[in-house]
Amino acid sequence: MSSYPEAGDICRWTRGKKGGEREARRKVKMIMEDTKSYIGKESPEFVFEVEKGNIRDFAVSIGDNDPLFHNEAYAGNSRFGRIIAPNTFSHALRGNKISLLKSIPPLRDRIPEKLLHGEHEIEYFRPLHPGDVITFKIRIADIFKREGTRNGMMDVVIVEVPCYNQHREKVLTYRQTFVIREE
Amino acid sequence: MFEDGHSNLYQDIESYKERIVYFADVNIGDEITPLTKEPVTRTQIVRYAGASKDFNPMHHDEPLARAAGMTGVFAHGMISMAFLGQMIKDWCGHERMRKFKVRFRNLVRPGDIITCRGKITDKYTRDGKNFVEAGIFAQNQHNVIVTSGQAVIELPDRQP
Repeated sequence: MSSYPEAGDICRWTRGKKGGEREARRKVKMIMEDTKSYIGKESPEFVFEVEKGNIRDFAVSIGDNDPLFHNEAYAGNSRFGRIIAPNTFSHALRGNKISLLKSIPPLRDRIPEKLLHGEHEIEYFRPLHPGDVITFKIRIADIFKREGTRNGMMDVVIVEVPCYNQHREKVLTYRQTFVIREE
Repeated sequence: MFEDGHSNLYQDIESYKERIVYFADVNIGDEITPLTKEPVTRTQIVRYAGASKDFNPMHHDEPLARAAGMTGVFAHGMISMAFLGQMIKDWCGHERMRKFKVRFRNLVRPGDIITCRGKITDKYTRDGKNFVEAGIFAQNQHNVIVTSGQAVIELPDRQP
C-alpha cells in the first residue's frame, strides 16, 4: 500500500512528477477552420423530470444506501424535508449529446467508438428533489486538438450545460470534456 | 433482494446519521475519511447505465468494445466520480460541495476495487462564507489512480 502523500503532494501525485511542465509542452491548441464555427452551438432545450425511483436506482447502482436518497420518512425528518438526489445524479441530465457531437463533421465517424469522457465538472446551486422539472441546453464551449499521453492526436470538445428547475432557478451547471481519439 | 450484493439498501436505517463537520474543526492537511467500494461488476455497470441513461455501448457491449480496440468493457468514468462524491458526502454531509471537478485518468474495469481518498488543501472565508478545498483521488487495487480532482466545500460555523 502506498504511503499517504503530504498535503501539497496531492496535486503532484495526481499529475505525476513534472506533470505540469509535461502537459504544457504536450498541449497544442490548434483551432481548425472546419470545427471552430461550431463553438457556441447549442442543442435544443431538453426537459428532465426528477423521479423518486430514478434517484433510488441511481443510488443503488453506485452502492450508496444513504436513506436520504430513498426513505420518505427519514428524508421528511431531515434538514431538507424531502428526498434529494445524489451529488452526481446530474449525469442523468443528458439530453442528446451524441447527436450534438456527431453534428461536427470531422468527428462524426469516430463517435462513439473513439469517444472518451476526459473530465467532468459540476457547480452546485440547489438540491434536486423528486418532482423537479429541469430544463437545459448543451452548449459547445470549445473545440481544439491536443496531443495525448498515449493516444496520439486527439480532438477535444468541451460542453457546458446550465440546468434550471421549474421555478427558473439555476440548480447546477456541469461541464464535460470529451476526447475523440484519431485512431 | 438484489443478487449482486446491493441487498443492504433496505437495511435498518434508524442508527444512520448525517455527518456534520464545522469549519473551525478542519485544518489544511486533514484527511477526508477514505472510502473503499465493493468490486465493480458488469451488473453494476448495467444498473448505472439504466439509472443514468448513459447507454454508451463501450460500457456493456463486450464484442463492440473489443472491436473498437479496448481489452473489454470499462465502467463509466462517472461511476468513479460518484464514488468520490459519496466519500465527500459521507465525510461532511449532504449538499456542502459547491464545485466538484475530476479528470478520468485510467479506465475502471469489472473486478476493480476502488478506494477514494482526499486531503484538505486550502481553507478560507469569502463573502462571509467558509470554504475548504480538497484534493481528491480514486485508486484501484493496484494503486493506479483512476480519477483525480478537486472539490470546493462550504462548511457551517459551529452553533454557539
